[in-house]
Amino acid sequence: MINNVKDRKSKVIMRKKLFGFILCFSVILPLAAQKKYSEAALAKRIDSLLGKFYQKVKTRPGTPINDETFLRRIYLDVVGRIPTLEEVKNFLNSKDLNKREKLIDALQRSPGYVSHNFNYWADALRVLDRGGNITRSYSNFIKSSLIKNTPYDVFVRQMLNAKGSLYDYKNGAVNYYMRDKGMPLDNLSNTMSLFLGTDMSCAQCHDHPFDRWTQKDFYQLAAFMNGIKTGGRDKEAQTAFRKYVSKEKDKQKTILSRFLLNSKDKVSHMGTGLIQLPSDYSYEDHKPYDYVRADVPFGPKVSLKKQPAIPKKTPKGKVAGSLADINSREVFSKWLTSKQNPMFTKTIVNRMWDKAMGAPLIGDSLLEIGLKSEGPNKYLTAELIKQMQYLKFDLKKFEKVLYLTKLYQTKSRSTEINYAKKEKNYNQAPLVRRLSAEQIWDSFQVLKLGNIDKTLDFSVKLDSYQYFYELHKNKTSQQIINLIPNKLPFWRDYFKNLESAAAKYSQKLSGKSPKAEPSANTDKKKKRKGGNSVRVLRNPRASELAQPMRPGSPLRELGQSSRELIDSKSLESSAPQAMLLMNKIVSEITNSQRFQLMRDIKSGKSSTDKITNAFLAILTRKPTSTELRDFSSLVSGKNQDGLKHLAWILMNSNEFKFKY
Amino acid sequence: MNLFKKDELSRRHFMAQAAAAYLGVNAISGLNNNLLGQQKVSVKSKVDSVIYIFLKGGLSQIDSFDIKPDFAGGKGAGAIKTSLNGYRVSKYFPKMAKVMNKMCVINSMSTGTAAHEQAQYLMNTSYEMRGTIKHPHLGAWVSKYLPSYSKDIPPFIKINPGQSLGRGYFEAKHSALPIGDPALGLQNSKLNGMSQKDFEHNMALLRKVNANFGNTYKTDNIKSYTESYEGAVKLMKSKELEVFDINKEKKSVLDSYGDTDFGKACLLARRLAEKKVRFIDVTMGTWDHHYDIYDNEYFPTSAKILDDSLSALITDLSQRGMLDRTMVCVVTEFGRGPNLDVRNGRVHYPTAFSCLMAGGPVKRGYVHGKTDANCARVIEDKMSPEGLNATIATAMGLDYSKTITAQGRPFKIAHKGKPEMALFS
Repeated sequence: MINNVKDRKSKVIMRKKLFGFILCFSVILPLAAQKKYSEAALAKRIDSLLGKFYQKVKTRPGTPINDETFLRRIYLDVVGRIPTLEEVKNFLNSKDLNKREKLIDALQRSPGYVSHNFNYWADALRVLDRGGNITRSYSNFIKSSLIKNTPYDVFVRQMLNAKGSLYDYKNGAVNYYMRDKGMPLDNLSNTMSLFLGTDMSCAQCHDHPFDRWTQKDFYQLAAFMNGIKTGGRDKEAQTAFRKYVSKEKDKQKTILSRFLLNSKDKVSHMGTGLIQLPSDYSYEDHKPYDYVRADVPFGPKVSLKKQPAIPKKTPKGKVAGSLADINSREVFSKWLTSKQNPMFTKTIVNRMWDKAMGAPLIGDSLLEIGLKSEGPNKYLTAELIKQMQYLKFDLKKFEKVLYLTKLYQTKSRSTEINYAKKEKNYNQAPLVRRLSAEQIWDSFQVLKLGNIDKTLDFSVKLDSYQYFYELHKNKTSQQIINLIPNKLPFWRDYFKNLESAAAKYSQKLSGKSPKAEPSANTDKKKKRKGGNSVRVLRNPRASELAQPMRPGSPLRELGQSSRELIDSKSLESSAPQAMLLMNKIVSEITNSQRFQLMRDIKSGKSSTDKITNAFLAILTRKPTSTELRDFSSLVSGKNQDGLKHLAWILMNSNEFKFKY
Repeated sequence: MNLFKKDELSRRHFMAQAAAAYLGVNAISGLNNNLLGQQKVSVKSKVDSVIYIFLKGGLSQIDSFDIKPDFAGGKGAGAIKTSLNGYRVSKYFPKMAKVMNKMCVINSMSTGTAAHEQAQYLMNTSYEMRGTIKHPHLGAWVSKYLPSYSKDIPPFIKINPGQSLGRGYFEAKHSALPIGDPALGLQNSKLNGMSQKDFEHNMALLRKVNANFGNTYKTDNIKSYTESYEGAVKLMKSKELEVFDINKEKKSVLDSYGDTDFGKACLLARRLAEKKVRFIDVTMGTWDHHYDIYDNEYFPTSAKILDDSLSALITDLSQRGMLDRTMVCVVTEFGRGPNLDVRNGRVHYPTAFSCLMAGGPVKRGYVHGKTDANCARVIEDKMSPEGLNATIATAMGLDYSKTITAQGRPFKIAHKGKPEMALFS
């Protein structure tokens, strides 16, 4: 009897497995690693899977979008801004049958791609460029990875294995750990959420109440990262500093010594593979302060090359001395980014899908996906995972594949997905989403200044610390102290001199002649006389401003992430935000004659041309006949300011703020 | 593959976990998510508004309100008599000395957190800073759980905001309204280069354009954008906006608060409290005196600004009869080392520090808690930021003991803190 039931069950399972296998093959052929597939061919495979899926769940695909909607969508997605009027007209007038793919290629090659994707990853990686010991090299690291198009798995490993000087401008990856200085367990929680879609933050303090993770699981993972040292002076620098300040009476010199010795700050140690449980560990399997060895809670097994030795403890549980470094971080980073890790590829596929389509592929979260979750369409999930690995984690190519799908080029859904009522994303259409603060900011910059990508300059600019490090990286702390001049009127002057020398050095590095870019101070004075805002003209894009901007600043009011939590940008509205748009950002554009937008609008000959130009420049589409009628009285009447009002209305419209 | 390794995990362990979770959830969902109603403890007179002055960097307790003139490390502060019999403050606070009979001093604050950001976070939220969740500022709790008196002005306002607007895991509408410059008031509330008539005409056309888009795309966020614009139109017309303009005050009042950013911020805070804005955060920096603390440009300068403006605020509130329904709290990150270090400065010192309160149900002319002769540790009535926040919440009529759920986890307004009833009269 029992055997029979078991038999029946296993038959059912076999049938199901076989059916799945057949379905998989009937839908699509496997990807052969040796064969070369174009991005278009890969996109077709996705569309074909979607087509079969629509049949299965008895739904229909949406309607294809026209060139205007495609144009706006692809500019916002690839370069993070709306197209200029000129770019709109060129594209709409082109008769090239392959113009959409060609545009994707051109945009992905543009510096705007780097700027926009930097903003995206700055939110995910919680990039700060000030505070604590974080340096602007974090931003430089991300931008240069985007420029080089570093494969995603390599990019992640570079951060997880980062070590060395904080002020080496080529070593920005160390900021991944510096960002969470003093909070290694939180750093690990974030690593698990961001790269493996696995939220273990509860297990940091107690067994996860709903999920499988135990506190011990978490500590076994934390053991890989244990022993890592973030910043701070090493012993040698500490001793040199103490000795110096105890003798030196000149306050300015002691202050300077402190700052100069910061150039010794670094991230070091590659992991001990061993960690003590916390003092309040309260489960039966271990006592507080017990040692646990590094291990992983899922995925391929790992083995440490060297097993850590478990040291003796005092009766109170504390340990004298330090643990040996056994390079366990590297083992962890290999496991995390392995193709066999069931979460790594799935998590980045889920994220890239969300970025392009406006909703995650699996479930409703990017940071908590579930070990077994495959999403509503598991064949699609499997295919995308295969494609990502086939493309060797080249995100640029992967995104191009997504942009080429019929799905991407479909009219957006009219509503959101109601996850609360258990609705699933069947992917008939992309979703409407508000533009990010940076996309809104950069789009306004387009309306002010035209093509803002031309002025993007990603060459490395060293700050005074980084420059000082370059000059003196091989010196001991004592030798660095010896550099302090005998007569020092004010310590800040020392840095001012360094700053201007650093600017010259940076220009040399990027091969520019020093005259091309005058120092910041003189430039400011000159521009002020001309009446133009220096900041806006020199750094038009959000990616080139402070990371993040201060609260209360326009970008933050528009929802720029405070970078405290992963993906924490806000897309919400508020009354102060509406006032900021109406009475500051938008009206500054319409009130001024010197910006691109009003010139573009006025270049139209008839009032219909002018209205059309306004619609094309702001909303990337022609006006409907009703809209033409509605606005023609505004523009052609006695109202001198009709065009200004037209532009004001369109820039304040909901349509402008949403990607649809 | 050891993907299912955990399936072999003792079932008993799993059941225990699950049971704890369900019990927890039941316990939480059985509660009312409202912090109002019958309080566990209550005070005689609740306050309408809190003016929450945050001294960034860490106020030196031994140089201000917990002086130790007989101890070597505390000699530099001097000592002057105050209007509160038997209690002396440092020579840097002559004006505050005159109003100490209205103040409640807490000299027994203590935490274990000596880093700026973490300490500020703990003080504002009652929770330790984590990289995986953001807890709301006390002001955001107030915004969420206390009814607002004003329809147009948000209940939580931050003057001179820091890096965070404090909403934590609450909705964006519970973020503080930031006022960057108290002299300029609320930004962007006036039309810019456009007549009211043109504006109304434009709004009518904008509504039409939006209706078109809204017929095709019907997400909640699109709808809320339309609502926010209408809210802004209302706010711009609101008479209540005048409250943000400190220039409406008499010159003598302006002068009494002092011609400094902090003075103006205190004056604006009083104007907002007059309109019963619930929670006004005023941040003043910086008190991080690591070097030559007594050099004129450091502690003495900061102390003078605080002394001038805070005493003016207390006096003004008192004269206007507002002190019963307005509570002033002066909090900081931590104290400073009782001994001067080699640089004649003071290090961060969380073990013992001071905070001030005034108004509402709080005792007037009272010193709570005590440190030892060297100001090294608290020897009486130790208080934590959680306890302080529970006290503030109680004074506002919010129940510190109630649990709410956010992101599936239980939270309380002051974490594990309980109100210090000895502070209330």
